[in-house]
Amino acid sequence: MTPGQTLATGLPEPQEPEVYRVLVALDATEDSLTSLDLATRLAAKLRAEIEGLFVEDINLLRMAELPCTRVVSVATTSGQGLDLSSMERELRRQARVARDMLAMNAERFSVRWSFRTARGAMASEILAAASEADIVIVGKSDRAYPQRVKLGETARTLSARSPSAVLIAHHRFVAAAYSPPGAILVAYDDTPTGDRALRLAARLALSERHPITVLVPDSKRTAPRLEEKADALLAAFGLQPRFRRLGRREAARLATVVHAEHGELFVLGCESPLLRGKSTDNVVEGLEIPVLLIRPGVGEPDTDQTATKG
Amino acid sequence: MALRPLSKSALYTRCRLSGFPFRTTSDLKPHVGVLGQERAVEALRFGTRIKRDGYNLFVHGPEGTGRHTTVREYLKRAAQDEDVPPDWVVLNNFEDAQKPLAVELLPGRGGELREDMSNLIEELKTAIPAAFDSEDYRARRQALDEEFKEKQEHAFEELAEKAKKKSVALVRTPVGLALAPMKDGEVISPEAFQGLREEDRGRFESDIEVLQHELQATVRQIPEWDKDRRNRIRELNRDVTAFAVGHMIEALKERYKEFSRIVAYLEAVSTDITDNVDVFLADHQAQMQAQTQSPPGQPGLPGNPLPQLQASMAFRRYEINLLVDNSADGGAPVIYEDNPTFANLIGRVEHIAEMGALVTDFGLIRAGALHRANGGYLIIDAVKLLTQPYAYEGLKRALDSRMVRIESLGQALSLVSTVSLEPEPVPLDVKVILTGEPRIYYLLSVLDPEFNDLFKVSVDYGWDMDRSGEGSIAYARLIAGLAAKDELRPFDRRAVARLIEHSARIADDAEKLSLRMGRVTDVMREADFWASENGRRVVTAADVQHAIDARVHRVDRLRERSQEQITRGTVLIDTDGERVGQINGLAVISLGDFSFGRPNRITARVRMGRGQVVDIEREVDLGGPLHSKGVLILSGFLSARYALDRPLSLSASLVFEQSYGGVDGDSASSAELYALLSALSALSLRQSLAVTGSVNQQGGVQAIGGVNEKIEGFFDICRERGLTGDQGVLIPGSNVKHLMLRQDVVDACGAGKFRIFPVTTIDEGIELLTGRRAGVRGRNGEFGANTVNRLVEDRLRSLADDLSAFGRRDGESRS
Repeated sequence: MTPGQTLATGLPEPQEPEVYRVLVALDATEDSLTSLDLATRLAAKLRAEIEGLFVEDINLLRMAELPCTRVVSVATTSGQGLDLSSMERELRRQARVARDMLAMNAERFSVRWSFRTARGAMASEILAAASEADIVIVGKSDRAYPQRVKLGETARTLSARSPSAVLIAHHRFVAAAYSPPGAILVAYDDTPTGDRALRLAARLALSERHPITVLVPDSKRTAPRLEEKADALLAAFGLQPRFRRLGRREAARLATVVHAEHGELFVLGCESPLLRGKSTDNVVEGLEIPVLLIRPGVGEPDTDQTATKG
Repeated sequence: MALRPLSKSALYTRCRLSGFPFRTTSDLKPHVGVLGQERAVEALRFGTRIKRDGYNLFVHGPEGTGRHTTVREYLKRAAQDEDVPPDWVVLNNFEDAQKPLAVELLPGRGGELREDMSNLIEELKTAIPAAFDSEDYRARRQALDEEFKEKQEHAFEELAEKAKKKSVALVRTPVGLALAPMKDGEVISPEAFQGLREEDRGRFESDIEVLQHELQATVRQIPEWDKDRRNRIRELNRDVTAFAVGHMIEALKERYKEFSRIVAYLEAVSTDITDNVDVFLADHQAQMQAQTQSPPGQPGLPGNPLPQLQASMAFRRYEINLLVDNSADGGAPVIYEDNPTFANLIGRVEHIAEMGALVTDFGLIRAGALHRANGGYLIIDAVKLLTQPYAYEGLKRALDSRMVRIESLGQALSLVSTVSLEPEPVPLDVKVILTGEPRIYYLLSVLDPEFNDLFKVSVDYGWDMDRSGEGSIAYARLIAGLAAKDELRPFDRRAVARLIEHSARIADDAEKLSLRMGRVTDVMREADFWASENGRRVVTAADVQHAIDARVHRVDRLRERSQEQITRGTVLIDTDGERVGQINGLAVISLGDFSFGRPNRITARVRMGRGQVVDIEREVDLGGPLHSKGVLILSGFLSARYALDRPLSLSASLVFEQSYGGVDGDSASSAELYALLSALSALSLRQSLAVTGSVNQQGGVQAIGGVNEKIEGFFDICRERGLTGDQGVLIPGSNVKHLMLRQDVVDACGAGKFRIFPVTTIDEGIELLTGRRAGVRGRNGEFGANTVNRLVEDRLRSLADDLSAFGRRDGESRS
């Protein structure tokens, strides 16, 4: 649908950030499946194409070359040495599995897809590929222990340096899958990324009729104006949002708010006041739902890129 | 004394209108029920009231006597006062799904149970997911998962911390958990590792080995922890489900507490739901997905229908298969099974195609007629039953064992050994009523030893009743009843009289009335139609006659064609003049319900021989056994009357000229005898007369069937050629009471243009045919001179002498 066309609601479709390509980092693990499912649904909702990237982690290959490295199978508890060829073979197998899973998911949701593998450091390879995508999806955790730090190195790097929006996937509990679709939570403010976050959240909510909850800073001066503006924008999508004003105390306990609102996805601009004075990593780390971080630059007119992809 | 033709009044017995105290049938009290079948009704009453094994009924009688209708109506009336039998339901057997349970409930309770179970499952589809979606459950479930995860993570991280102190990294890899040396928080490169001092490398190796053992010990604990988690989740799920289900099941148990098997079933349902709660959760999930994936305005349109399909199949196990529903019945059931196949009688197990295979379950078990009629009556047409493979055997087995066991024909005959359902058999208490023609009843009685044990009551329907004064008025009331039932116009008394006369004609007897009411009712309906066409409000005798004539006209094309062949001279029949050894016999041709008479030329030739009368029809296999018997009787007659003291030395041949089909019956035997006597005596016979009647060895003429059609058949030919007053038919005197001739025949006889002679002996007949006295033996033992018998006897003596002389000459020439 192009801007200016009429939605099913009869309202003209507002100008919105275009998303052409969704990049998902895959490694054939359970977390990776969560990422893939999320990525495919997202691409379907946004009518974007999906690219799967499997990175053959250089650290794993190095480890395999060390003579004293020992590996313990979780399935059999047997311990053995590690060699480079078997590690390479296993990585190739995982890549095939990841490709097949991507193909199956993409076909199920009728999404155009592509897949490639790269060898190198996980974070830098994904970061490099992210420049070609509008949204990049990565898992929350890393391979290395200790995992008390919930946000892995790759997610940290992407959230700090990605040129595109970053969706940090999080594995949800099975029981929650029986629930009705959860709410799309979006932090709305006066910043450019806040505006884009709201439009993107609207598109996502519209496609699967999720409820949408708009979080605005609890300010007598700005909150009514922001709510009115957001209401008008979302009304153009045929959506009736729920508003929640966040005071400082609630903003500090964002995880509790997200849980109370039955959030399924949190869309957050990097310039959001919710992040003021805090580390983005710490905020994301505390949330147990996927977080879509809108980085500056997403949706900005880029004539060359648009022409190439269109 | 010459034999006199019958008077007009003897040819047609009219209905006396003076005996009809009504103007139209509207004035009559209609007769409801069966008329003239007192024996059958008594047997029916007895058979339905006696409650003993084997007292099933076989109702037999000719087609059109209304045995089906009257039996059904009788049974429906009788069944109204009987107890309504129980409902039967088939339930899933949770312990052994291959053997579904059959349970009886009070009438109407089966449907209620089905509704209650359906409501229960629908409620649980919401209640169970709601219970599992509660904050409480989610928190408890999440706590269990997190506890497991934390336990696992804690163990690994404890180990990771310990390893870190020894500069060893614990990393997840595609092939498992790896332990590798590190430096500055990163896994050391191979080059750097090689650059280490040997003792450092050795330390790493020994540390990693120790850590490996610890890691293995930790990993070994994971399955135990996971098992514990799963058990605790299962317990949690059971508790939550039991809470959601418990009060609903208890309410149903209270509602059905008088049915112990239903209570036990409900307990099994409760346990099964608790064990299979995932089905309810998956269904709910599929519903939610369908709602979220379908466009607005099309709720529930699934994106992927498979989960919903699987869920709906899984829910089938809780459904109630209402096998027999007696809620609407006001008495015992009366079932007529129109298509009594094996499966339609004892029930069937149906299958549905699923993923390319045929599958079944208890819900696809279907009742048979025996189930539906259980506690009441089942009516089956015997011929239909016997023409369906193994249906009769299946019925007998059920009656014998007093159980209905649903199984396929393949199973019953041990032809297939595929695993299928074995539903619990249902106890059988049914009265089976077979209907059919008498010959079926008698064949079964003789050929099937079990038949008489299982069908002890014979209900014998007659085909006619006496046409006495009382009989006619009763018949008039029956006509009134039939007119009212079919919503026909009233019939006036003359129309009723004409119908009664027609009924007598159908019965082929002026003193009887036909009880094959189908044919009478058809005439009534058609008369009503013609009355309508003529704008009459009341059906008159003219309408009835029109209906009869039109009916005959519709079917008598072949009769016309047959008559045309005679009048055009293709088939040779003389109706005037005299011939030696030639006579007009009369035959009846039946075309379903319609019969007509047709004259046949019969000729006889004699010569010297050894006492044989050759039946040419028999020689070429065109004569039936009764015809042959008639011809053989002729030999007996000739021998007894004329050849007492010498051998019967003739050879005679008899033939039905221009007969190209079969001939049976002995009604032409008198005609054949007349032709033979003519040939022997060389006296010519009058061709203006036709003859019917069988003959015995003493020369007595006996009754035959179809006398009316035969007379009318010859009359039509004569009328076509012109009635001379000399033409007529010789009939047996004992057939006079059967005469119900067409009005034009009666009128012609009344005017002396046609004559019907009642003949009791051959002598009477031959005198009429030859115009010569038959002759009786005098004191000298000889017949009178120039009498027919004298001429015959002389000829036979001559033949005997000739044969004797021939024998002597032949013997001399041989010697």
